[in-house]
Amino acid sequence: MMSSPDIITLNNVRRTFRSGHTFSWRPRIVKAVDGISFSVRRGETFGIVGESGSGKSTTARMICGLERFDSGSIIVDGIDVGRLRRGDRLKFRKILQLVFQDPYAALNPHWKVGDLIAEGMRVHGIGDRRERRKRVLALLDQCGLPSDAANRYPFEFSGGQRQRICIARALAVEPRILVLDEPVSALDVSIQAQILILLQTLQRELGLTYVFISHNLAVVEQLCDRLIVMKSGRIVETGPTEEVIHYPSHEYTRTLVEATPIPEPSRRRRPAHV
Amino acid sequence: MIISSTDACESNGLAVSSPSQGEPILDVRDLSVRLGSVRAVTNVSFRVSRGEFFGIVGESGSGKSITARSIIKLLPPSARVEGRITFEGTDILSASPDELRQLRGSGIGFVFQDAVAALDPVYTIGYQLVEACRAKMPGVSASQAHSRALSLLAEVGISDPERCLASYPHQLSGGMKQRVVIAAALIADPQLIIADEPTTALDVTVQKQVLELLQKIAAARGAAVILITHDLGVVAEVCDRTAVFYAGTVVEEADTFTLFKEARHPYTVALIESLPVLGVRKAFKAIPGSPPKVVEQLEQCPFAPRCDRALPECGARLPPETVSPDHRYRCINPYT
Repeated sequence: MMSSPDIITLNNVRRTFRSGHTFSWRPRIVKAVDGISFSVRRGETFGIVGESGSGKSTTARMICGLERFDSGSIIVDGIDVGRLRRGDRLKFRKILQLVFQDPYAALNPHWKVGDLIAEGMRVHGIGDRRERRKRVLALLDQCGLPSDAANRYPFEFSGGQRQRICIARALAVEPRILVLDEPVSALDVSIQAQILILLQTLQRELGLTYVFISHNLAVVEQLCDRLIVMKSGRIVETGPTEEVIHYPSHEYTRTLVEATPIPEPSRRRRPAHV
Repeated sequence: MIISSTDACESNGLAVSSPSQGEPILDVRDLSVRLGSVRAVTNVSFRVSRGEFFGIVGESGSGKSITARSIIKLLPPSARVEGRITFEGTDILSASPDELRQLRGSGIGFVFQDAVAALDPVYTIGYQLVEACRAKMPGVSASQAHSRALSLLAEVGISDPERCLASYPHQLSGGMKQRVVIAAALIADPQLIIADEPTTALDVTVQKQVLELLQKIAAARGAAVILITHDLGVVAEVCDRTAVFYAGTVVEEADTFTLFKEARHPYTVALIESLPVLGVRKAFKAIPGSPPKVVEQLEQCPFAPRCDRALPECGARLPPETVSPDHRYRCINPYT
C-alpha cells in the first residue's frame, strides 16, 4: 500500500435534491450525499461501492466538478473543486478525466475515432495537428486498438473496443486521475476482463490514480486498494478492500457480500430446491 | 464469513439428484431461427423436466432470448423457424393461434427482462392483473379476479398487496415491479416459467430476493423454470442444469455442478475463468477478441477464432455434439 500524500480529499460534503412536484409548497428534500469525508491516495485505485440510490454516482460527479454540492469541500490535486471558475475548469480537466458506463452513448457517432481522441488535445492546445495525429496513433496502440481505427466511426466497433476508445480519449490530455463510473458493467462478460486488464496495465505504466465506481463487489475486490461502501448518501464502511470484504463490520456490507452471486455451485449458500 | 467453506451449504448431492431423469415437460429439437440473412439460432436442442430449474447462459447476441421467445412463438413475422418444440405433447410451432393463446400464460408463463416496459404506465397494477386474470380464466368474476390478484401479490412477497393493487407502475421500485411481473406470469398456474434476464436491471440485494422467490415458487408449485441470464454467478447459485449458448448454438450443456467442475468446451472454461470471484483475489484472465455480432453461416466452430485450443479442423465444420449422460458439448479438442 502506498503512503504518498492524498490527491483527492472530500470533507463533510453534502448534496440535496428537491423532489416531488415542481410547484409543491413543501418539496421533499432528498439527501443524495449526506456529509461524507474520505481521501484518495496518489496512485491507488479507490473503490466507491453501493447500490442504486446510494449516492455513489453523485459523489463521482461532484469530484469531477459536474455536480454542485451544498456544503463541505472537495480538493483535487490542490484545486478547490467548489470554487472552479470557467478558466480553471479547463485546467482541472487536464488533471482529472472520466470514463462513463455506456460506451455506446459516450461517443459522438458523427465523429471519426481519431477526432474524438484528439478533441481534448485540441481544446487544451496541446501540439499541432501532426503531433496530435502521432499521439492519437500512440494512444490507440496503448489501448489495444488497430491503428486504422482513427479513420473509422464508432459504430464500426464493438462495445469493448468502444470502451477502449473512451479510455484512449480520457488519457489524451495526460491526466493524473481517472474517474471510472461502472466502466465494464455495460459490456459482455467475456469482454469485461479485457478492459479491466487494460486499466491495470495503464495504471502501472502511467502511475494513474483511479476512482472506481461499481456495484460489483467481485470486480472491486480484484481492482481496488481501498474502498468505501455507501448507502443512502452516507459512508457505512471504509477501509482496505480485503478487510472490508472478508471482515465487514457493517450490517449492510455483510448483506452486499452475501448477495453477490458466486460462480461456484459448490459454494452455493442454499440448496437448489427446498 | 460466507467465503469460508463452512458456511457454504453442503448441497452437493442435492441438486444433482433427479431432474435430468424426470419426465420432460419441454422438448426442443434442432431449433433453428433465421431473421432475414442472420442465423439467430442454429440447431439448438434441450429438454426441461418437470420441476427443474434450467439455466440458459450466454452473452448478448448468443441467441438465448430468441430461443426463449420461440418457445411461446413470440417472434417477429419475418422469422423463419425450423425444428420442433413440444410442450406437454403440444407441437408449438404448428399450433393454431387459439392453441397458442391457451398455452401462453396458462401453460407457460413468461417473465420479461424489462419490468418497466412490461407494465402499462397508465393503468394501475390492479387493473392490469385483473384484466390478465379475466382473459386467462373466462367466467371469473371481477371480485374473484381481484382476490386472485391479491393472493398472487402476497405470494411474490409484496407486503401490502392492497396498496400495490391501487398503485401505478411508476410508484413502485424496480424490485417491486419485477415481483408484479412475476405475479402476472403466475396468474393461470403455468407449468413452465420462462424468466428472461429477470434480475439484470436490479441491485444485487434485490436480485437475490427475486432469485429466491423464483426458487420458492418453483418448489411450491412443482413448476419448471427456464432462467435466461448472462451471469454465470446467477446460474451457479440457482440452476440445476445449464446450457451455454454461443453464436446461436448450445456449445455445452450439463448439470450445473459438473459444468463448473468439469467444463469441456474451451468457451465455458474461459468464461468461468474470466469471472472475478468474490473472496478469491486472482489476476484477471481475459478471452481475446469479441463474440461474433452477426452469424450468417455456422460452418465452423464459432468460438474457434478466439480459442487457444483450436485445431485446423475447427475451421472446417461445426463440431458434432459429444453426448454422455448428463453432459454434452460441441468441441473436437475439449478439455479432459
